[in-house]
Amino acid sequence: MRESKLLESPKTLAGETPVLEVRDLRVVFHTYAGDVKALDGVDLTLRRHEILGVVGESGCGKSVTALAIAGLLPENTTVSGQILLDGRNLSELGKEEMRQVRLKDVAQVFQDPMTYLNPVLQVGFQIIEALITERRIYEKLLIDQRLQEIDQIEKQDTNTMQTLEKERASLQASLQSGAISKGQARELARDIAIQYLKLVRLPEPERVFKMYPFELSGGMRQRAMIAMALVKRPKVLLADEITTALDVTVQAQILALLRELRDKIDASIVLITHDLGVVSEVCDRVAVMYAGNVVEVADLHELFKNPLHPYTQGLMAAVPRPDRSTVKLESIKGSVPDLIYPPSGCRFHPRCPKAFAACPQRKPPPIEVSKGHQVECLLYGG
Amino acid sequence: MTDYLVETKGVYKWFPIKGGILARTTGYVKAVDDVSFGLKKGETLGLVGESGCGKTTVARLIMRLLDVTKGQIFVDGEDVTKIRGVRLKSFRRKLQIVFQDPYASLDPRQTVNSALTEPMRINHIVRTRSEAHDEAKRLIRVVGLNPDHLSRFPHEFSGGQRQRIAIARALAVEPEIVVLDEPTSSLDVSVQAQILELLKDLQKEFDLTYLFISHNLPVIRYMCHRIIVMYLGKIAEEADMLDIYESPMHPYTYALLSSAPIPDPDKRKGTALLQGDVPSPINIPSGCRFRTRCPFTTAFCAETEPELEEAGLGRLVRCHYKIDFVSKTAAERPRAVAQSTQQ
Amino acid sequence: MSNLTETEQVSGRALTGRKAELRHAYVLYKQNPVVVAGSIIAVGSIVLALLSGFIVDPNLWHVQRLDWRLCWNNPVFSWPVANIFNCSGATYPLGTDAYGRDLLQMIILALPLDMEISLTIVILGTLIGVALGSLAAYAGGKIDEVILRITDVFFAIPGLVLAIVLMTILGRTIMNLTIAVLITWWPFYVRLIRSQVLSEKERPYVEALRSTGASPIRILFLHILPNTIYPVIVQMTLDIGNVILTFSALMFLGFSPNPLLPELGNLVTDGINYVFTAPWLIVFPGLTIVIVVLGFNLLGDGIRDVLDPRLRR
Repeated sequence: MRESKLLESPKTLAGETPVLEVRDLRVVFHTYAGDVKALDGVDLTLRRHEILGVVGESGCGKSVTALAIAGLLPENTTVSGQILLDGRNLSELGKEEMRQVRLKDVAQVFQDPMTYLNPVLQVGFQIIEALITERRIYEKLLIDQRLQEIDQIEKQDTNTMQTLEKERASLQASLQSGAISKGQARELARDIAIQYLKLVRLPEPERVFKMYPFELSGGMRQRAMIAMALVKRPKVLLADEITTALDVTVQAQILALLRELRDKIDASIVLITHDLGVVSEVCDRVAVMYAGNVVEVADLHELFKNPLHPYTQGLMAAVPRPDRSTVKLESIKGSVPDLIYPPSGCRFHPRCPKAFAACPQRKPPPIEVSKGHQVECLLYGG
Repeated sequence: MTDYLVETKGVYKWFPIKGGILARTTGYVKAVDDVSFGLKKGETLGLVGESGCGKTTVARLIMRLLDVTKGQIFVDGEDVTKIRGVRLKSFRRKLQIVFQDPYASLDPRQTVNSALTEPMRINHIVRTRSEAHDEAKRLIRVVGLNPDHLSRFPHEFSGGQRQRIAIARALAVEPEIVVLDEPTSSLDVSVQAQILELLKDLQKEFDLTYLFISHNLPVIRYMCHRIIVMYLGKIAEEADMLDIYESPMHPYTYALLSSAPIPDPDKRKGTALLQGDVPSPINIPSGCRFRTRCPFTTAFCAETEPELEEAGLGRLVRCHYKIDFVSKTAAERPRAVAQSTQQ
Repeated sequence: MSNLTETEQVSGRALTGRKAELRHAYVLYKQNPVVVAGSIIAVGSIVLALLSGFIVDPNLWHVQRLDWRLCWNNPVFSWPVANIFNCSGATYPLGTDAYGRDLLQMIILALPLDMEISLTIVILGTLIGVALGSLAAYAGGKIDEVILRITDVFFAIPGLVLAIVLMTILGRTIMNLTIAVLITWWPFYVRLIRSQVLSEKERPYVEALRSTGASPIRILFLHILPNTIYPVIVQMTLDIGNVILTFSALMFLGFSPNPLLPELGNLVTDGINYVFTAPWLIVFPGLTIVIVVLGFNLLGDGIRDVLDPRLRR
């Protein structure tokens, strides 16, 4: 196992430890055609309150990384490496414990909400379903939320105040005894769900709560999915190509929403996409992936101003822009490698315009070139 | 105008919706609702719009893969709207299409060689099998693959390679016009660049005329000389590429451009200009169909549908106000009225 | 113009094209014990059926030897019934039937008849069904309506009942039996292929073919059908077994043209009368039916996995 030279104790602007750390993650899929070495030592750090963009093309492993973090990889895989969520190593957990993690701490939103929402159940029901059936886990969340609300209600007439006090007492009791009833849970969950539907700027959230997925448009469905993910107050939100299937004007709305949410919620977001425009619009830091490796990580502005890895450079030169005329698009020659027989050494070397003799021989280690800017390329050392 | 290679005049395509017990027609999906434009030889005309705008339907109508409900289509001066039989077959040679999905546009059970030679044989371009094979070899090289790929099946290739094969197949009948329906939307960015460059090279080498359909604004800017912006079945704006991108006049064009994210962190948009979703072509708003989402709409917009009118040299705009968005402030914009009486 | 002369590596694998397909199919086949077992049984049955005329004299089924009726003298196994007549002197590994014929020989003679009837019905049924179904799906409109309605009529009538009625009207011959079962069988293929073709014809490559000027016939037969035929093939293999069961049932119900006829169902029917005195008459023909039907069923199940290219991608 390669010695992982991570950025030295990465701290957020607030000086905290990262909420998610992925160290030397390797994933191999065992298929009939051979072993697909999908991830080859991925290092990622997600700080609190940040939106980390993970950019790459097909086959780079960005979705696999998300699945690994969520513990949703299929059976026929070999996984090694560490995934630390708030210091806790997820890769050591069993299935049931991992399920608990998914219930509380890690949420996912996918590309096509129509296939991820049950078409025969109301949207609202789907949002709160887990909150009710797993109420033992969520009861603190549900009750605290309501208690907070009660505290914030301005003084009303005595009758109302008495009712509220009774409610508060009963909730405290439930919290102590650790037994919240299904009915109670449903009430509380419904309120929370509607609040979150409001948060994601869905008009008439009470009405939307009762609607079925097919009654909503693509943009609304995606907002509903985001609400569903956020309702359980996760630490990490994995957003996998969430705007790829949306029209560009709707995509703009969702991206604006993400920026807005970043400041309002506790979760840190991993935004997976192939679109550099989306990344520029929303992310604080960016990790570029190619063929199972994170080839470059940097702050957003730094990455665009000073892309170091030849793949990043190639990617940026290949993307046409709507605000400027491009004379010629520089394409990266060749195509994404077969991960059953990946290239030796640096996986990018067959396509790299700056490759030299050592590249096929050695896999480049991560090198920190400047503060917060890390590259895996022999041009910069190793 | 007779110097258009392809011309559409007042083309409508309405799909009936059947409902009720006796399957009566209860309404129409007005996919294309009065579209007229011309495509000049050697140019690349872009059709831009979001889902439901009708651009894909227009492509299929021009290719005669669908029949028009009303209107006419001219190719090389000839009215091809209703031709059949042998005339239709010889017409087919002039226009070819490349589809969006490289995984579905090739018959999975056909070798590449067969896929390329079949159109040649159908149209009697070649006489013997070996002649066809030689032609296939030439074609496959032209698109950047090599002849030993001919004996393979589509699933052995990557998306970009399959798209090259699809392009080769389109060229097999030596067409004048190639309709490109989102040809790179399913491809990775780096592969997209390869394919776009290939298309440009082929256009020069074979003197092709392209109708380029996409929702991807940067790609359209890169590829097209002239652009038509469509919304809910009608043309919202038509102009040269630079005019559209640098000085749009229709609010929808402006909104599209302001929505497209730029790969440059210094040029963030921040907020989205348009709220709500793209409406469906079944219930089209009265008056100007864009008014329900337009940030500059007025009461007048709800009453009267604007016509497509000239607004400068070679520009057509369908808007009562033809706002000059280049002006710095909203106050300076002539006739841009802020109060929105949207429903 | 580097784009135009670039050569690319397609896949790192050694075999390509048709050879790769066959090799891949073979590998999948070997890995699947269900298919292997099924195909061994199925092929074995067919081979045995073909060779049966050489193993056993086909005229033997007419010959009755009443002094050797219902006897069992297989030394290895004995039946728990009273008064088994021991046909001493002759060797009958599976005993004799009510007419004194060697049961094993009868079973061997029955196989070609069963396979022939079954294959005829299945193949003809498929041809008719595929022709009508694909025509309905591709042409659409009125033609589709008409064909669908006709098919619905046939669907509404329970197969066995229809067959019985037809047999009663037409009379008891093998030919009529075949026709009766065939008439009840083809509608299913219409439905099957119709839904396949309906979805297939919307696929982009069909549009692409139309745009190159290909005629509908060409598109249908050279492109759509080869891509949609796999469920039909699977269904055919499953049906071979089902058809055998169906006309065995018909024989059982009394529609056998000749009680002496060496046909598996017929043999079982005869054996019912002697279930307590000569149980082997039911057991062995019945077991043969089970094994043959099972073999084809397993084969059908497995073929789906091995053959369909789209499922494998």
